[in-house]
Amino acid sequence: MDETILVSSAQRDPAQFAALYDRYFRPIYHYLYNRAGSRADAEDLTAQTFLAALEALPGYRHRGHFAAWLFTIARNKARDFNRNGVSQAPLDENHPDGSEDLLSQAVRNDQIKQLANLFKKSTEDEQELMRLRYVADLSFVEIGVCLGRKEDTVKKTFYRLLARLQDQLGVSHD
Amino acid sequence: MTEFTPSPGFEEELRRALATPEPDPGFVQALRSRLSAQTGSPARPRSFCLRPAWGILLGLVLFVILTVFIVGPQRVAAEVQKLFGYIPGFGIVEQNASLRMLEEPVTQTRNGITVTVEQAFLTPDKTVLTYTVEGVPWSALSHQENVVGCSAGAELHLPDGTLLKLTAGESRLQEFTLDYAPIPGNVNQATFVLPCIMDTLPGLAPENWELPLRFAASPPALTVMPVIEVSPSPEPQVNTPAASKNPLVLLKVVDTGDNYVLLGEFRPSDALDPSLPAGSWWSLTDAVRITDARGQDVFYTGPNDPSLQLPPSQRGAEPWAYQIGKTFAPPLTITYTGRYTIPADPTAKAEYVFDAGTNPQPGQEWVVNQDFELAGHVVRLVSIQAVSESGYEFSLESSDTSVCSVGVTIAGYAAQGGGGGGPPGKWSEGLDYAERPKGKLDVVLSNLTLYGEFKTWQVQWTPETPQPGSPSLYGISLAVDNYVPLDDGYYLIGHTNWTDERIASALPAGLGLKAYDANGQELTFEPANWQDAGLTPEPNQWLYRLTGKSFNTPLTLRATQMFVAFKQPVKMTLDLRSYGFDGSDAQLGMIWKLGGAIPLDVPGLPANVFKVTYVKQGDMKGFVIGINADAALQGLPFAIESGLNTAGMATVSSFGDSNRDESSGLVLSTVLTDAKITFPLVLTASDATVNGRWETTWNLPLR
Repeated sequence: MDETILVSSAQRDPAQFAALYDRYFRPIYHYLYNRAGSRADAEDLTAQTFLAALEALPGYRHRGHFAAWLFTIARNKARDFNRNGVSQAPLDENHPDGSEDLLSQAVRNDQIKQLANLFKKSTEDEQELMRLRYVADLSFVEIGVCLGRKEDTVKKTFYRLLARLQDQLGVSHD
Repeated sequence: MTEFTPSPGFEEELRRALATPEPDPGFVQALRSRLSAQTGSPARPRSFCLRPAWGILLGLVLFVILTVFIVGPQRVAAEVQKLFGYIPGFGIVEQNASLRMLEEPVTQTRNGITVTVEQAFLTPDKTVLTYTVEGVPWSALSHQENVVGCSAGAELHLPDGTLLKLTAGESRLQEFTLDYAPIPGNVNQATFVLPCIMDTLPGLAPENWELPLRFAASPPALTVMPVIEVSPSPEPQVNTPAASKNPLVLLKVVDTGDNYVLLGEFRPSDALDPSLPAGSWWSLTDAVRITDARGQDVFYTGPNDPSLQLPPSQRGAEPWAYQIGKTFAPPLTITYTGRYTIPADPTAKAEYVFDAGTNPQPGQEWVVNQDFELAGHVVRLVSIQAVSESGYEFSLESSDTSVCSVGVTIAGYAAQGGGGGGPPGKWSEGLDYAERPKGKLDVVLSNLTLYGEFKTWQVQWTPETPQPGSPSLYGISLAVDNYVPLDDGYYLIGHTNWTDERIASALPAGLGLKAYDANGQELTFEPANWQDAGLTPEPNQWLYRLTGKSFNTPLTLRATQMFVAFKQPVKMTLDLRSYGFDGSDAQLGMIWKLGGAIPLDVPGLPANVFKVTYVKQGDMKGFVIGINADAALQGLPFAIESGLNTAGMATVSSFGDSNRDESSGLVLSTVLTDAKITFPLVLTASDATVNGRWETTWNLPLR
């Protein structure tokens, strides 16, 4: 169903919020897991995010940017969490889906580990950009709304970052 | 410049480098249930663990036979401590914090659009600024999902060139409250820079707004409302060995003058029952209730001021805020009702292989009708259906009433999303994939969860100082001044008193004043005409005619409904332009659901605008405003103060009426006019009809 309809339905009848929850639970959870680094904290922050969104929904009016609005709430929750002195745990768990043979998987896993290390060495802004793109699956437009930047700026920054990472990885994927 | 294009493989590896483990299905369901309960309505059909009819029926029918453990009610002593204060629009501050403010509101109008920085508060911790936007034409806004309007955040520029970026923000209709980093104590000026108006399309509204701001120390007369620090006393009573603490905690109460805002949090970790298997959780099944000493529901809303919220005091805590009026009979009890969900044996699973073929189509169905036993509980997989572009829906049922949910996966395929729900004993589970799995598929049923016991958590609060007139609304009381004997009865002349200074007058509503004899028998008692009686009324006097002379005294005069006039009218600004209102006949009957986005400052009674309907009656058009309000409010008739285009009209007719609609529970206020309506439309209500119970007694004097 069209997101605008889902949002306006939930604004009319808060019970309809469940449909938005279903749509956004996974990206919000994974994004917050990536920010917080543990299952327990990801669950806490996800609950806080959706409860806050439910409460604030009547005032929502940024048509067409619901995902960005929701992720703004999630980002605020994550920021408060990090401010409270809880450091971000490293993300070193890889989760192969079992569709590759073991050798390919090992090679690939090594590259993934290198990328994970490069991610950790990136600035917070760069990490956030990658999270919003690859974990939250937001469009450049939505990332722009979240970060308060123009879409073009986000896109250029992002691709510059990817080029650098690929260069640092030293692996050709052509 | 040549744009870098990453290879799909590289992007995929990056995705995997950032991947995190899948969520616990139990958590997904628990949070869903909690949200459903939080909406104040029964869980929706899509809700999985709390099947809707199940929740309602059990809530109503089985209430008396549920094993309800009540902690407490935890009596809480209220202790006024002058550590904190509440500033509307800013939130809770320490009383001794250094505070600066915007010297005065700053406004700028360009092309009919007005931007006003209404207020700003500066503390050593942060800067909070509120600005409003008026007059944005509908045509300037983005109305399509794929067309992006302005979303640039407003900035604050300091004189030395420092740029303060937005750190957080909230909006409510046309009002935006923004948080920034603190401004140094020696800086008393800044420029508010708004690159463009939110949601407007490029070139259709003025851009690059700059409003100069000046700050000054907060005046001594600044209204800082009291915050009542609530400390549990004594320690929470525990009447079940399963819990060591009450997870429902009231932390602060803000006295906003008209209302109280109760601030607290729910601590799920304190709701865990160590006697249950690991991974069990408690979740709400019913809407949160607030009741008074008589057990009657007290109407509550979210706070009118979104800044009134507390951060979680500990990890996992879920803050809440409820705004209530002041006319309740204390103590007040907040009740959370829910129950435990318990994971069954996590190793228990069952598998079913089906062949989806090489090209499964949406709507294609595979009938299974096969029972599976998991951890001693039977679940039937009824059918599998290919749904949407890339998903499957699994229909399940179980006659075992203890079964709450069962997880469904397709082995070897990672779902990207899903959801489920359904009526009692019969539900579905949907799974979405990046690409629909094909061929022989191994469906795995696992992670069975079971319903546990119901459990209720409560917390109580009593205001330290009784409210003026409480529990009588507005402190209204009745008095009999005089009487005039008639052949067949008496004229009774009386008046109304009140202690609430916001009230200009109060009179019993028409037939709202009744008389009862000493035996409780109702007598014939009707409003009388002053002229007929040859009398002249004093302000707030009323005249009633009592029929009959043979009754046992004392009489009890009891009013259940009053007309009250307010010294300050209740004001409401309606602007539906940004909701697409164009005033055309095609929009007659359309309903704009605002869901409480416009709070109404009705003295002592929480109320907000829930919906607005565009209507026509005869030659007049206007709105029926649906108001969600305290049960005491029965009518709030609005009149149009401004917003009409009367050009060329010799006379203007307007109409206003209000009543409570029993079916919807809303107070409906109708405003109609034969003039052209323009926005913003300013409406005012100078009086209201309220329900209550006010009594006095009268003894026939001896002659």
